Amino acid sequence: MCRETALRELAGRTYVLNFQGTKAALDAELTTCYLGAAWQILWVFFEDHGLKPAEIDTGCDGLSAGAFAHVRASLVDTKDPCGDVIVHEAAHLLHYLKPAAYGLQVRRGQERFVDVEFRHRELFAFACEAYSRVVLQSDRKARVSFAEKMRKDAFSFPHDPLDDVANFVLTAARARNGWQAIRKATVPPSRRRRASSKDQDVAHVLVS
Amino acid sequence: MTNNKLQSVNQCIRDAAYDAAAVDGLSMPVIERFLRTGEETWEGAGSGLFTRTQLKQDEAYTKAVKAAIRRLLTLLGDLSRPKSERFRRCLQKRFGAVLNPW
Repeated sequence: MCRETALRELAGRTYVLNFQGTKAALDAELTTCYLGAAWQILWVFFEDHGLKPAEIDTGCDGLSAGAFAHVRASLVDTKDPCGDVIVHEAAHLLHYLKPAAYGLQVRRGQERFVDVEFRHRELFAFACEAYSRVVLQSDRKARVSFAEKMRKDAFSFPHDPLDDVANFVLTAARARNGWQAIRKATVPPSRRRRASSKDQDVAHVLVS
Repeated sequence: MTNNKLQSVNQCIRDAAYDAAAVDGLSMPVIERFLRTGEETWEGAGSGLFTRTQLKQDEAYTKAVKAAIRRLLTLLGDLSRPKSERFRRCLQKRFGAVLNPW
């Protein structure tokens, strides 16, 4: 139930910014009180079409603005073998949305679909993004080999966290359950011992 | 971006700001500034202790910039729409054919 709800919400809240997607994203964002997100979406879209004046700085490629996630259309077909900006933004959404808001039962101390230590939220999103490409490989050997080459092959990741992300992904590729490895490394310390199979179920949504 | 294109984009921004400001007699430069920077510089924006008038101002400007954003999407959308799409829209107008959205 938790997994179905998460999947449904991810599908309904993620917008790819082509013209129709941008229109829908603006409709969604303009129902909230954060005008800045709608402004960013507008210019991120027109930057893709070469219509953004240089002095306007949106400062982002994808955008997870609270309850919605928006992805620049030009990044969806990335050539980076380790990149998937939709999974990245979906990971942020899983860290934002609360199962209790959908009437779902939660464990004691659980707040979000996937509780992640706040300072690790980007690391978590990047790790999910890269690992979602790892699991597309045919067998374990191919997965490990793919993860080993990540540091060299990934070009769309920011330089700073790349080493950490590559280490995470390699550990995940070698583990029996890679999602669990990523979860364990990014979960808040108070919940580290309790990271359970329910979390893995939700994390699996990212490759569904 | 070429100069011509930049001029067209700037004109779209001004038009969207003008149309949105005209409805409630608001300040066009304030709305234009929002469209260019994303900054909410009108009275009553942000957090703080506001008078009733400032809150009313905020409400009016919020409504106006929302309209301006939608208008700008349409105006710039027409600029960036592929030529073939503009041709198809023209055909649609004339002959009423049902065509795929952009």
